[in-house]
Amino acid sequence: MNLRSLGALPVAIAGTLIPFALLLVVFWVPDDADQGFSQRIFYLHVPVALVSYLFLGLGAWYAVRYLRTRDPIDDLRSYVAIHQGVIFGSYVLLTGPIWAKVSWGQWWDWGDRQLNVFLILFLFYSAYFMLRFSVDAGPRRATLSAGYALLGIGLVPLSFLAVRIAETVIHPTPLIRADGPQIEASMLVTFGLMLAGAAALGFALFSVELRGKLIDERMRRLRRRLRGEAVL
Amino acid sequence: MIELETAVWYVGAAYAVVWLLTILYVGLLRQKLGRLERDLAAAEEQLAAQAPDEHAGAGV
Amino acid sequence: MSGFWRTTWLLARKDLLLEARSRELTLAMGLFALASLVLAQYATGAAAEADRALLASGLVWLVVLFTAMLGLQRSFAAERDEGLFDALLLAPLDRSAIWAGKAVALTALLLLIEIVLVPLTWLFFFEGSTAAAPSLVTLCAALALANLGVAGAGSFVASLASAARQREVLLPVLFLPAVTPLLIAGVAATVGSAQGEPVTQPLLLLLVYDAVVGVLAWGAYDHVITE
Repeated sequence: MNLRSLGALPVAIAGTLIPFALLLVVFWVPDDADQGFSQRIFYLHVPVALVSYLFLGLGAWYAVRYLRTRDPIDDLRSYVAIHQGVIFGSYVLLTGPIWAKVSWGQWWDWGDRQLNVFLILFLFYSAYFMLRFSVDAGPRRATLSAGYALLGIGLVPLSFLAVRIAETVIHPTPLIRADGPQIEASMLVTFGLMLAGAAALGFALFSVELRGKLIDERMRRLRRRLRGEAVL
Repeated sequence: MIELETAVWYVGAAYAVVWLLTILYVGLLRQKLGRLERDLAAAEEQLAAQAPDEHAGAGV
Repeated sequence: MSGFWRTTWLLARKDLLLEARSRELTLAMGLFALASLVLAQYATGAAAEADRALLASGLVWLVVLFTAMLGLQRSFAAERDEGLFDALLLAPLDRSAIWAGKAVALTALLLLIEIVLVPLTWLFFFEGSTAAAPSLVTLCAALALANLGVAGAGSFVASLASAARQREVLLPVLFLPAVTPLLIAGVAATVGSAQGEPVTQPLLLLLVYDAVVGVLAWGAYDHVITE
């Protein structure tokens, strides 16, 4: 695997920002007034959540593009973007409970908006993959996937709103939350760096996986040609 | 508030989980690329084997 | 645009007329809803009375969703199997009307089922109970709004699933996450009305969901369902 195929720029950015930001997280940022040291998970949990949203949005964008251009590469871009979105989403679902356990003493918190939204989105986009696996490769699979991803455009904000509204009406057992802690400049800077680093990492992985898929496709066509079959 | 030691453990665990999963994912990608390279080599061989036949057939 | 609505109405009418004659889907959905409600009753039997009332507010929504799923399965399976779907796609009509027609028909069926389901929920869970009951008006309004969203999202998703392998298994997987916001908002409205909270926000969300999904499905259907 040579450096060129890695999409060097995002890797370089991620490679510098993330270790640096991690150092800041460990040594520089102050303890949170309410939660103390454990609040530092925030610098991981929220950036991966935002990056996940970013890639899911990108996936929807490429899905719309596919429906216009019918270019199979747009379909692959959409698929890989959604894949990254789900991967980062799973990071949210893993770090969330850890944070909940150390902060509030329980492994799951139905009052945590992000966790709820990501749970719904995780289910929705897992269904996306199931849909993809239920159709053979080709324009039909691409079109159906794009259609479902399109529904996701509406679902992301709607899920968020639904969870938020339900909170105000139903009042789950309130865990005293320090929503919006006093953000100091150092926290903001570190957060920003982690966010940028995570996004860069996401893009690096995105470009590698996309290239892999494209080469896969070329291999498939090559093999068919070699067997003397017509190439689809 | 939880004591510092446990807190450090949990925070570390969160970062470690994400890190390990990312490494795992990269490993899977490398595996896939390796497979692609092997397939490519096999296809090249096949093409080389076919080429002599193609030249023979072209004259017909 | 008037062609769209006319075609929608014609297609919905076709489905509903067929259903009126055979009544098999309505009966199946109705019995399923009833059985589910009874099961829900037994499942929550151990809970304290006040809790059961709250549970009922949520469970009735779950039953509606599963009943809708049943209706979707049947509605789309029939057309696929008999090649009617292909015929419709070949016809020179606004394809989105196919989606809309299915959605309207399913909405009507759901309303019909709910006319029976809501009183029964009352009977099973709230009759003779001292627990706070949700406002009937709120529940009906929420259900009416949600039906549109359930049918709209459901018909869209069912069309996607019906073009794939294992469509019977795929439909629930695609459908349930997509309608989760409806359930969340619906339950919020129902429980909220029982607790005396203002319910305009959840009801508004139901409306927004209907609008957003409606526009998305209407706009995309033609591009997405090509065979």
